Amino acid sequence: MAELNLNIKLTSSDLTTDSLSIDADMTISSLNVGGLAKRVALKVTGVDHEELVEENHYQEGAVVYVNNPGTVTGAAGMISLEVGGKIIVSLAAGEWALFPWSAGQSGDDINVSAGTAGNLLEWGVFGTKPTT
Amino acid sequence: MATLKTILALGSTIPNNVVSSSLLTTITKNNTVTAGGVLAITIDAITEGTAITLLTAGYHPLGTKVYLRNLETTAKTLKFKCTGDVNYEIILKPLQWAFFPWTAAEDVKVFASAAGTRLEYGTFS
Repeated sequence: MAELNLNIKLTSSDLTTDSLSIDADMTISSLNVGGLAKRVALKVTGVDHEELVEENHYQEGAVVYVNNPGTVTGAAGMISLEVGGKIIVSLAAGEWALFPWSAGQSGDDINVSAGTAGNLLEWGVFGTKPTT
Repeated sequence: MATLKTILALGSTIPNNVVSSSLLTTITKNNTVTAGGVLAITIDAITEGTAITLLTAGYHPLGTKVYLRNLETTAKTLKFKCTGDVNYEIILKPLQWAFFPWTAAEDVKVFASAAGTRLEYGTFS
């Protein structure tokens, strides 16, 4: 079975009087579905959205990764993830998000929309296929 | 003003690859921030109905970066509701983490699979 290895580093030398240095690994194992891709978001936030991740395709704990590779600042350059008509994450140009997701246990897909139709996003989901 | 540097490394490499080629990507970003930090707390709430408010929307601006990590090494799981009644949860098993720009439209609530689950979390804005 496949594995996904993740590491996050958060560092700051001037936010607080003591330097911040977080370094955390995470390994997701027993994967049998997933990968990385780049696509356009064709629907405009607040008007419409399109499906990004189908919740029935993954068991609880699937890891969702989304990156906005754009360079346009402000609302026009945003990429938004929506669930049940509510925006859960908004990514400005250069921002990313990564989270283990409830997937099929919860009952809603993750949808995507953009500040401007045609904005690009890089995305990936890594998980285990539900048993039938 | 201060700088928060974030680095994400994502890899799935041979022989434990998820697709037939290796994946290895790194994203580095310097974020300008004025407030934030990292705290550790213990979560005793074990049902959604008794979930505690971890982050209050009204205290944070749109785009606040949120970091969450389950500090437990075995068994205990944390669940986060970020959108009120919508069916969406972030689920952290032992030593798992999440990072995302938060819309700060609704509070983030958390509960655990067992009382005494340790959570590390941070906000940056």
